[in-house]
Amino acid sequence: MIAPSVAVPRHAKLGQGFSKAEQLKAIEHPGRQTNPRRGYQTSIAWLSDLIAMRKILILCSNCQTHFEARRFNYRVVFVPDCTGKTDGYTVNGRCDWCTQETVMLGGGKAFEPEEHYAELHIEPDVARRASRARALRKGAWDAVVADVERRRARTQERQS
Amino acid sequence: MREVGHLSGGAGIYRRFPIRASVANRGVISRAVTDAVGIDVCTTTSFVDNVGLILEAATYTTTQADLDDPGSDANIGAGNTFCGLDMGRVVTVSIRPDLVIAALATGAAAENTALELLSNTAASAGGTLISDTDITEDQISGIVWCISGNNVGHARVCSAFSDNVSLTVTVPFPRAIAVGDEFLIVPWGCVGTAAADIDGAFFLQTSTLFTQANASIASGTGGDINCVYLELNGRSDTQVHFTLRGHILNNSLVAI
Repeated sequence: MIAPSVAVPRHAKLGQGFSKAEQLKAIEHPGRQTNPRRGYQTSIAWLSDLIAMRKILILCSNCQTHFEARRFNYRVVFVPDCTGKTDGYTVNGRCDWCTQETVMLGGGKAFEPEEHYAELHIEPDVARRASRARALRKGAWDAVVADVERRRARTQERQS
Repeated sequence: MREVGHLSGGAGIYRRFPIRASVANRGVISRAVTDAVGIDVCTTTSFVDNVGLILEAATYTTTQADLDDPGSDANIGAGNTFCGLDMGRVVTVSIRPDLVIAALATGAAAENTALELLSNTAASAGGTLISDTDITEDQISGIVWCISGNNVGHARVCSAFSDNVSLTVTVPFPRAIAVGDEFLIVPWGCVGTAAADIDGAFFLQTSTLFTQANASIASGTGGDINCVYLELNGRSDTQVHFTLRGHILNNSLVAI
């Protein structure tokens, strides 16, 4: 007789259940089906379905060449990186083409339908312009200093 | 709501999760498993056990997927193939717990409402008192800033409030406040301890559709956040940037 298998929480003490994070991990979608016994899906069929539903795509650095974002009205997701470790265009997850974790493959990119972009992400150009404008904007004290300088110059002109 | 960065920098992490109810709008905060079916959208006042920011809309259905004829024209590309219907019930979520989210401030529970304009009705030579009958919410520890008049561009923390009468700031505005000077106020600040009247940095209530931040409520009301930054602009383009305190991957807060 084969004993029934019992799921035991990892790293848990006796009596403890699965943590919420573990439960969440358990319901995570596994991505493209690659087991022939359960119905093998080709990469292109999987991507085709995602595009048809206007879903976000995640592709690793190797597989990005398979997808022509502009052709399907998609664009690369940009999230500013304050540390400068990435260029802001890096997003990790499970690659929709090769099903591997992109973090193991030199980092991935996420592609988002153009029509949804403004709802969820900022434009890199707009963000850069706003940041530069803020940096250049002078405070009240600068205005006072400039005014004093102007008056001093005017007084010197009169005296000369 | 939009992704604007991560406190620790680096790349975002996206995961796909099934839903347990339809997600009508993108850019909403998620709520984690309550029945192991999937994730859900938060409520306007609670972000407990959230998973991050949902980046897609999706319709929940219990219809069975059509696996019999995946090659037919009706099924290909229609979200009805092997994966299709399943994927229709799945949303992509940005799951990093240090994700900084930007939400547009709206002046009411409804989205895209301009912030309440406070037009000063009594002069304050000391620069500490703003009078207006429109001051109706206790937004002590929120930020008030001048958009028209002597103190344009200056912001102060609201320290006292009198319903329908006035609000007070402890640190005076640099110049006298004249009659007609215009101010805006939001219930959020960037410092405090979450105790009464210094709790503006820690709570946020969403708009009805969960896509914006309701600035018409009292400070200290809503779901758990950490306010990171305030973009104090005009009545329709002010934003609050925050992280989620009750994230499910934030081990210090989530009970096991």
